[in-house]
Amino acid sequence: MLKTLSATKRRQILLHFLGRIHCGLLSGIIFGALFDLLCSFGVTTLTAYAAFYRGCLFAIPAALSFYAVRKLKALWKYLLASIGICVLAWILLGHLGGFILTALLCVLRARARLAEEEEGSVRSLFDYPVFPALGLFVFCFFLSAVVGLPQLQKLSIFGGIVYLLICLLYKGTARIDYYLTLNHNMHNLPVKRIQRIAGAAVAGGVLLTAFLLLPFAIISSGEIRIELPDRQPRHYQNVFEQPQATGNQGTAQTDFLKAIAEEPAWQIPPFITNSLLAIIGVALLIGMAALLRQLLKNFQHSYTDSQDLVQFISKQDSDYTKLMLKSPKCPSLWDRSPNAVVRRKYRKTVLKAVKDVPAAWMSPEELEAWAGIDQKLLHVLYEKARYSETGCTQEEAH
Amino acid sequence: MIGLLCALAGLALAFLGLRALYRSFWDRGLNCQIHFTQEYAVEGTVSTLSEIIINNKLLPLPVLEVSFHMDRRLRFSGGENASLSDQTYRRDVFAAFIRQKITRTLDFHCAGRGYFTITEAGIAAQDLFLTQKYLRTVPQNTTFYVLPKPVPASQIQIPFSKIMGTLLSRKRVCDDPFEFGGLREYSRGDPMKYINWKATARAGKLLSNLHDSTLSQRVVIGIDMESGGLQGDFLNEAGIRVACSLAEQLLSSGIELGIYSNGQDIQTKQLWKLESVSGAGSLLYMKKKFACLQSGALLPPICDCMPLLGAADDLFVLIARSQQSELSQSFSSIVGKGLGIRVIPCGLGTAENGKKEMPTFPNIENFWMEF
Repeated sequence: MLKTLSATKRRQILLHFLGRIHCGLLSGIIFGALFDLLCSFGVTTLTAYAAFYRGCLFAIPAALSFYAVRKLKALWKYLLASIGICVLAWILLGHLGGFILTALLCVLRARARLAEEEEGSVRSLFDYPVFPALGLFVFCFFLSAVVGLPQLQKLSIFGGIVYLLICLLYKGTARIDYYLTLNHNMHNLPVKRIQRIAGAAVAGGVLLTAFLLLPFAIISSGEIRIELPDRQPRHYQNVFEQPQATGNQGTAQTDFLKAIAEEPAWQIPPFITNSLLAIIGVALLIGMAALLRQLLKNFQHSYTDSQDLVQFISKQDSDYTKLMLKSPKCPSLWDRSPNAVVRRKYRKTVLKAVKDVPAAWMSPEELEAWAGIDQKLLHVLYEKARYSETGCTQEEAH
Repeated sequence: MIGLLCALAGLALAFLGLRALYRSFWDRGLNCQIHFTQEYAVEGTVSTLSEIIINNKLLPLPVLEVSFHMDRRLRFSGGENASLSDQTYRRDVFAAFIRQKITRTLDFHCAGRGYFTITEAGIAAQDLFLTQKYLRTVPQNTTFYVLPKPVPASQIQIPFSKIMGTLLSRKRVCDDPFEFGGLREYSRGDPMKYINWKATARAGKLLSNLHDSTLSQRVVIGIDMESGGLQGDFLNEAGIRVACSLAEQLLSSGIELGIYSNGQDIQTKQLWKLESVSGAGSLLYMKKKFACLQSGALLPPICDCMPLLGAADDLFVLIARSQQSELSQSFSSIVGKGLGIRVIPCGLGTAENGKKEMPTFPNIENFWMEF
C-alpha cells in the first residue's frame, strides 16, 4: 500500500509540475511576443528572448497561487497572499506585466474557489495544459512571419514544440493516473506493471516526438515571412544595430566588430567533428539497443507480482500455445482457387449471421446450428472444399 | 518549416497507425482461461479458481480486464473485486507485456451445495496509451461440484442403526444353503446334514457349516425437494446432507441403494434419480449426483417418483420436511407390509409439536432431526 501511495504521489507531483510549467510557457510566449513588438518599435530594450525566459518564471507564482487557494481558507488571507505573489511575479518577470497577469490569475482562482463551494470541484485551465493553447504559439508564429520578428518566430517554434511535449506527457500520465486512481481499491491491481508498460509507452512517444521535432526548433532561422497582399514589406530594425560609423572611428569600430564576428584563427577540422558526432551517434544507438535488449531479457524471467505468476512464453510454449489457439487458416487474399472461393463465401456467410468469431473446435454442422444458418448447398460445397481430396470445381465455386 | 510539418504529420500518422494496429490485432494470440483447480469440494470448505491470461504477440496490453460471473453460492474470500447480487460477479485487472503468461489463483468459499459452471468470460483491453477500449467475450468450459456437507455421525446413528438392524434381521432369517460362510462347532439342534465331516475329521470335534444370506439388501431412499421459502430450502438442504451421509454409510456397509427424488437433475434436466448404486467406489459419483439435485416449486409428489414395485425385501427410507398427512399416507401405502423409515428434518424446537400433530402409521417409523 505504501508503495502504491508513493507511486501515486510521484505521478501527482509530475502532473502538478507539468501544470505549472505550462503556465510559464504560455506566459513566456505572451510576453515574448509583446516585448518583441515593443522592441521593434523601439519602446523597450528587453529582448524577446529575455522576456520569454523570464516569462517562464511565471510558473512559480502560478504554483504559489495554486497552493494558496487550496491551503488558505479565509478570503482575506488569500488576498494578502495574492498581493505578495503578485509582487514576487513583478520581481521575477522584471516588468509590470508580471504583476498584472498574476493579479488576474489570483482573481480567477478566487472566483473558481467560490464556485467550487457551490457547484463542486472545478478544474482551472491554469492547472493543466491543453492542446488548443498551442494555437497561441501558432498565432505568434504567424504574427512574427507577418510583422517580421525572427526572434519571436524561433521562440514560437521552440515554445510550441516544448508545449506540445508537455501536453503529450501530461495527457498520457493523467490517463494512467486516472485509471489507477479509479481502481485503487481493486485487489491485486498490477500498478507497477501498468505504470511500467503504459508509462514507457508515453515516455517513448514523448522522446520520439522530441527527437523528431526539437532539431527543427534548434535550426530554425526565424526567416520565414508571409507577405500580405496590400502590405509593404517591413524591414526589421534591430535597436541594437550599430549605427553607420563614419570616418576613422567608424572604420575602427567596424573593424573591431568584424574582428569579433570573424571566425577564430584555428578551428577544429570538420572531419574530426563529424567523426566525433558519428561515434557519439553510434554509441547512443548501441547503448539504446543494449538497453532494449536488457529490458526484454528481464522480461524473459518468471517472477511473482502480488498473487500473479508472470511467465515469459518461450518458443516451445509459444508453439504449443499457437497450436492451442490455432484456428483453421483462412485462404490467402490472392488465392482464387475454387476451394478458396467457397471457403471465403462460407466464412462471410457465417460472420454475417453472427458477430462473434466461432470457436475453432466447431464442425461445419455445429457452426451452422450455432449461427442459425440453413444452406445445405453451401454446407456440402464447404465440406467438399475443406475436407475432400479432389476439392470443388470452378462451376461449383460459382 | 516543411520538415517540421512533415515530422508532425509523420507523428500523427504513427499514432493513428498504432491505434489501427491495436484495433485489428489486440486480440490476436490473446487467450483467457478460467478453470477450477479442483473437480469438487465439500460444502463449507475453500477451493481455488485459476485465471490464466496468455498474450502471445508483440503488442503489449497495459490494461486487461477479465470479468466473469458464477453462482452466488461460490463466494470469493473477502469479497474483493467481486459483487454479490443474483450471481457472483468478478472483475480482475491484468497487465500483459509482450509474450507473457499470467496466472492468478483466487480462493473462494463454497457456501452451498451444487453443480457450477463458468461458460463465458469477458475481456476488455486498452491500447498502449489507454485511449481506446476493446471488448470481447471468450467462451469458457469449466465445472465444479460442491458436495453436500456430511452430517455428524451421531445425528444419523439412530436411523442408520435402525436400517442396518432391519436388514440384518432379514438377512439372518433367510440363509442360502449353497453359500458357504464358514464353520462353527456343532450345537444341539443343528441339522445333521449341515455337519462338515471332513472338517470334523481334521479337527476331532463336530463342526457344522455356516451359510451366508444372498438376500438382496437394497435400500430405497426418497428425498422430497419441494421448495418452501427460506426455511423450507434450508431444511431441504439439511435433508440432502442427511441422505448423503446415510447413503455413504450404507454404501460403505455394502448395501445397495436406489435414491429417488422429485427434484430436477441440473445436468440432465430430467427427474433426479439414482436407480442402483453400490460399492464404496461409487461414493464420489453418488455425491456428485447429490450436488446436481435441485429443488423447485410445484414438483410432483415424492411418492410418485419412488418405485412402486420394488423387491419385497427393499427397505424404504423417506427424507422429507413436509408434515402433511397425505405424504405419510402415500408413503405408508408404498411400504405396504414391510417397514418404512421416515426422516423428518425440522427447525429447532419444533420436533415435539410435530410429533403430536403428525399422524403415525404402524408400518412407518419416524425420526425427527432438528436443524
